[in-house]
Amino acid sequence: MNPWDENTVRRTRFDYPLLVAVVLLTCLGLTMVFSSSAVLAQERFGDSLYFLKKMMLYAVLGFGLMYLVMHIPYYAWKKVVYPLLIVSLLIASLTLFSGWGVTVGGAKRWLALGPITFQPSEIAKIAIIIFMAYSLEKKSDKMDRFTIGILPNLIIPGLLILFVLMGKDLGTSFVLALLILILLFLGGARTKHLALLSLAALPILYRLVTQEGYRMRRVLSFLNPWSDRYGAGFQVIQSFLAFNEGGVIGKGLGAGQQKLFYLPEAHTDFIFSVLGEELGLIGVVLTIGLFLFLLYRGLRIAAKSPDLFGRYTALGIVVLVGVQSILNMGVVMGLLPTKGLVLPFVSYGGSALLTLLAAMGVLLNISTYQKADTPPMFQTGARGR
Amino acid sequence: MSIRFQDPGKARQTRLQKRLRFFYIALCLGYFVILVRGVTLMLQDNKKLETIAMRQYRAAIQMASDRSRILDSKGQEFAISVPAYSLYSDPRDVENPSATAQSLSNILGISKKNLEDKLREKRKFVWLERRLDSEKMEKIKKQNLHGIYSIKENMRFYPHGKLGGNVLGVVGVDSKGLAGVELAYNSYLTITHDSGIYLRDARGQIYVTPNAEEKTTEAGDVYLTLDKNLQFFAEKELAAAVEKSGAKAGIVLMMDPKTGEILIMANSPSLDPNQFDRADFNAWRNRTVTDIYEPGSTFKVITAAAALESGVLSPREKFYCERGALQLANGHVINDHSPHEWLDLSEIIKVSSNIGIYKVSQKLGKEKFYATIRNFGFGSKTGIDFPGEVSGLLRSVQRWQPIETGTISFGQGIGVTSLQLLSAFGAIANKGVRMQPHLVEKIVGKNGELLYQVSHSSINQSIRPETAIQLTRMLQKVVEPGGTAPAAFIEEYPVAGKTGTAQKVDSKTGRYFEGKYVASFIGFAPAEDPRLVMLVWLDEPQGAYFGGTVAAPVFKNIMQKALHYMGVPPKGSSQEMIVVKKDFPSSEAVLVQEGDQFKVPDFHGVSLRQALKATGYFPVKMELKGRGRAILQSPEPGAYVSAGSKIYVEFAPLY
Repeated sequence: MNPWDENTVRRTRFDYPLLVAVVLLTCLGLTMVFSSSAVLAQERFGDSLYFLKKMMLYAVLGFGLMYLVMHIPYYAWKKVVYPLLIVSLLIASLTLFSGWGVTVGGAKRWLALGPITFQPSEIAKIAIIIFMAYSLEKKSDKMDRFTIGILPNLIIPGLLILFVLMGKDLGTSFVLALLILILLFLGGARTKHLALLSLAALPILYRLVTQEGYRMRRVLSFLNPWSDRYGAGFQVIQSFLAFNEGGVIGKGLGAGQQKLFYLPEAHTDFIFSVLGEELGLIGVVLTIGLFLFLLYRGLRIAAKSPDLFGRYTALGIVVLVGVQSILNMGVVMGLLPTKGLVLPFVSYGGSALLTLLAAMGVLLNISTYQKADTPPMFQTGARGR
Repeated sequence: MSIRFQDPGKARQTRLQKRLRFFYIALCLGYFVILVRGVTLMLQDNKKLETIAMRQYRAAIQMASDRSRILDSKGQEFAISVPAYSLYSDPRDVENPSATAQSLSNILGISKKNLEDKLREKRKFVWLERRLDSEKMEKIKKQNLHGIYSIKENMRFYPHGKLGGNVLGVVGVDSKGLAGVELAYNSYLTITHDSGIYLRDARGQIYVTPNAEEKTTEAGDVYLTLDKNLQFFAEKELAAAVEKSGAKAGIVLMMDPKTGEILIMANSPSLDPNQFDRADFNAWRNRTVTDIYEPGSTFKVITAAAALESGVLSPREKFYCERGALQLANGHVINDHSPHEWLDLSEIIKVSSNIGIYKVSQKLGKEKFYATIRNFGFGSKTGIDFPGEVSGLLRSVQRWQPIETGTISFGQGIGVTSLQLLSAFGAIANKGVRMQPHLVEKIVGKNGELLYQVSHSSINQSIRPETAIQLTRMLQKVVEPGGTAPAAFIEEYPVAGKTGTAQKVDSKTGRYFEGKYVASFIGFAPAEDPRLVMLVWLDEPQGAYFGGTVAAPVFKNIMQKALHYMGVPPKGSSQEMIVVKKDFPSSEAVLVQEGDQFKVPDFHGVSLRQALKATGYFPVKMELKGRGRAILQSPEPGAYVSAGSKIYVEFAPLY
């Protein structure tokens, strides 16, 4: 008794190569987290394995969660779109306005529930993706109308973005805004509308950057890091140094020196620099290759998904991973101004990894549904193996 | 429950497909840009970045270096390396610079302002004080100050303080030799580490990678020719003599004339290299090689040598000594200490007659005199392995004034160093062969490999052996009754030597100071087979100022002790000799030298006290355990060991 039409939809095995890419990226992440955090962990907690242990725990939990989510039919998420949004908003407001919010470095980005600290913006990402997929599917034939196709998609996620912004997390807000914009684009919104929307966002962005001194300094130091070598430009110069020291084959795993407190946030935001120093260009190419492959599989899954909700959910996940990874790499290589963004799968961060692996579970579930008219050579997953 | 999949319209579908492709291309482009950026960042040489890297990682290398030991000829430690703490600050972590500076100032004794300035610097690493003792370090740790850290460094330590300080020299805070042997042999004493090993992190803390290994190829323990025991005794005697005579400064030098090994090099005032920064400027230099003075009467021996060597006079030829005063043609008057009439060369030396030696020099002629002076090494550096040696003042013979041959003959108008004089007398003691004086015997690497071994080389044959023997006989008379230095006479070892009492020259006026003298005695013993040549020199003794009264007794004390210490067999038999013999172990448990090796005796049943003496003065170490009588030994009796090896003996009580 299947709830779908057997003539148009076919079940297959999940997309095995995608899983392999996810596992490889997570393993790379664990390795780099250990290498980049061991000294810091020894110093701060007296246990060089401190961060590795936590990250491993999250990875195990994350893969468990992924396995669970893999077995939930993706269309079931449609039913929880609004509860998910409400929960996200609730958690975000709790973080901001209740005593459970944890302030780190002037930014309220974490929610502490007992021993667990959680980053609400991670849930917001998933909630926005599912909401957008739901909304884009529902309005798929009215996307060229601004008031119906675009405006609702701005108001509800916009509220979430506002909350994230209030937590002083410009980076994540930017990612979310970009996610919405790209999904609208892929959902068929008119280019003119999107262009106007972007133009309208520019003054806001300008205001946001200029009202906070540190953001302005970051932007200025991005434009010329050498002008303030020991101040705002320090981070990015140390990052350059890491890549420069790495060369083709790198210094070898664990042999990097930049993580010894030269690089800020070596195990989170700047983990890619440590990777560059220790594994060299080879490691950089390998990492980019893994991301590209993962996103390629994601796009295939999206293209073959039998309905628009599946398609847009898959696309949303691809956009999220793609945008975050490109922005993070761009920042550590000095192509973009510094912002607090992590590299998906690789950087240390529990909630981010859990969310990502859960999202991969969703993606893997979508991969088990295919349009019946998909030519055999494009079919995802091997059948009857 | 049923679900309805919506199929988008055909036209919209192709548009969406296009947009998807566009997105995928944009994504790929994004990664491509990053890849290109990565390639340029990682593969292009970037001088700017490399300079920063070098600076920030490696600034700590040199201060992390360690130094090997300096030992005496028997392997006793003169200078060692001990761990100490160095205090630094990361000013970014300092919460209250003023209060922190105040509490540090109380402990360190550095001015508060000085410290506060450092704590306010916009850097992440500032030295506050290098090489603290652990006591101060403990106090600072208890204060629990933010932003104040310490690291372990190696510190040069001289266990005996001033002993040999002027010879050993000084090591700066960065473990670099700044003076003395520390400077001369700096490359051997510096234990360098591979450049990749000592690195520092962003906070300036030093971390060591696991493959840290010391390079042992270059560095090694430096064995001096000095003997710590002799040096100690000499410094004690010298200090006492300086104190007693009220002299400004003093020198004792001792050398083995057959090898050129310097056994004693004592200075007063002397430098404590542990606290060189607090030392008086006067105490810094090693006067034996840096200070020039007019030798005075000791130089008459050189004149006598030249006269005998040239053959212009027979040893029996007598000179009229004018009853103590000789007026020269230019009006100058040469005086003798006491009036004499007819003296031969030997007697002139014995009573140190200026007029006599003047007449000898006139007969000798300046060319031959000058040649002998040069042969003895005056006017050029001895070439000792010590930094800062000077060559003295000797004008070339063409520029000598007519009177100069005469004045130089009794040691005026020429500037020499103590070491030059010692070296010249060494030649007389060594049958005319002048040996290269040296301070370092060998350098032994960490694994016992010999990195350097001095070869005992001669500089030249300064005079003929017969001349040397004749001179020795003359010099023996000096310490006999009626000579100028009976105080230097040693009963069991015949001494040959010469006194010197020179008036000091005022460098400003060029005239002689009234009442400022340099008293010296230089000689060797035992006269027929000299083992040691020695010089005692006292600058501006107050009251009694004659070399024979001030310097000669010091010479006697040290020389006698040294010859005993070295086990030189005394001539004839006297009370003292029996005492000396008693000191030697009477049982068979004594090492016997056979060629380069030493035969190990049977220690069984030997007492600890006897075993301690077993090695005598041979460079073999004893490792003794327990007390009572010896029960175990290694190696076995009759085995041969080489220099520098160890003999292990275990003892147990008999009851």
